[in-house]
Amino acid sequence: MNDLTPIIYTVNDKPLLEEEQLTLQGKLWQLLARQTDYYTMGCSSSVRVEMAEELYHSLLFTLQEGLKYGAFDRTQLLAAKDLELLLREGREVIEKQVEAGKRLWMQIQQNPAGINNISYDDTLKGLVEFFKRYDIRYFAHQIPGDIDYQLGHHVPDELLGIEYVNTYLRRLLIENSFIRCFETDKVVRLLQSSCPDYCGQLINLYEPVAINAIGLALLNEDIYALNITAEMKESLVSSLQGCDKDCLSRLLAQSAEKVSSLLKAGAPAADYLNQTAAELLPRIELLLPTGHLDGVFLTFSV
Amino acid sequence: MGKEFLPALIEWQKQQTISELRECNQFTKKYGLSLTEQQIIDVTERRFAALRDTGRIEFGQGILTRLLKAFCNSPYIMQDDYEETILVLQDCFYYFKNESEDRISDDELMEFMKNRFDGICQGSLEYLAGTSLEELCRNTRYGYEVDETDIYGRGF
Repeated sequence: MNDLTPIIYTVNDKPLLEEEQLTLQGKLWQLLARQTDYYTMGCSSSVRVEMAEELYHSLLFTLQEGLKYGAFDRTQLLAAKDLELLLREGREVIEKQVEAGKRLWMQIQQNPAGINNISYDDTLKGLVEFFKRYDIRYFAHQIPGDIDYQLGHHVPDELLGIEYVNTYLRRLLIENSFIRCFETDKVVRLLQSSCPDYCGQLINLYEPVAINAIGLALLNEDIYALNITAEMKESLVSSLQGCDKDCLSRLLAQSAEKVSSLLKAGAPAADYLNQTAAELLPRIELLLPTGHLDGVFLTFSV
Repeated sequence: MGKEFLPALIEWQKQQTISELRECNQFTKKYGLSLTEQQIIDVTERRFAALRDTGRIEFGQGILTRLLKAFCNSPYIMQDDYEETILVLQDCFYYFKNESEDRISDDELMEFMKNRFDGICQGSLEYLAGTSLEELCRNTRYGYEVDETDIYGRGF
């Protein structure tokens, strides 16, 4: 039999005492029993273990969301005789998140990337499915709907349900806003250099644009050009070759800041770009000794 | 704490079941059926074994006492084979609950089992498990009606 392991080991980052864990376990079990009864509409005293696990994870997720967003606190959770009321408060938090998610989806519709990509389009449709099929009551931790489009920075797998989707949407919005700062024609030429079938492949549209913009900022060139020629790459190699890791990291961070400032990016977008720049460091470090940065920075092929 | 979670709960449920079965004995005694202390323990252990084997988990009272109360007035159950019959009926119940993909409620399945056991099966557990319940589950999955009448249209 699978183990229905509670995942609330810590509440608000404070580990629970053994006594507290036992108390909470009992209450969670009672809650699960009631939830199962609701789910089967009182018609079945038993369910498959897999189903019980799903219901249980949904309960934990809902309670965790309530805790995280301050609907109740650790003391209330531990003192509550019955978790039903706290569960309802958790659900209200999730309902608000769903509304926020729908607004984010609308914002994305109003600010599309402007580039054709099948996986991007399918994902937006998949997100519509998500909002239609998302079951707050019984499966709040699940993500019904296909999300295929790869982001530049993946959403951590630890995030569940609406929290995953909202983080995904926020990141997608940042990426779209970034891409829209550049001329579509140049973005398309850049993407073609990276992947000739950029419309049909499962690729991220943001990353090549961001990386080349950072590269151009490193060279003090016009970031809107998006093209890093072979000569520019040589120049980059020669200027970076003498740098140690700290120096490289500093230069990349400065370039990202420069790009953010030129694009008048907000704090979340600037952080996102900084993350992209930071992830470039090991790649550049690895390629510098070879004297080529072709795999990192792109030159227009058409 | 996760590792002790389920066993601790099962232990608590076992104690609950044992005391429920003792109470149930008072009810079934009027039909000449009762379980000894050892039989109560065995039936309880078998409940959790059946749940484990069928990959199910049960909350609250469970079906065991309901099963006893439903079948105790059957003309085909004697004190000598009472424990064995209950054990098999319990196994069948969880097995066919899975086989029907949870589309049949506890009450419906129990009612069907009782009607068939006392009717066409005439107390044969093999017949019940091998034909009637198989048929019920197959029909449930494929959406056919269960025909509970003989060639003259009479119910068993």
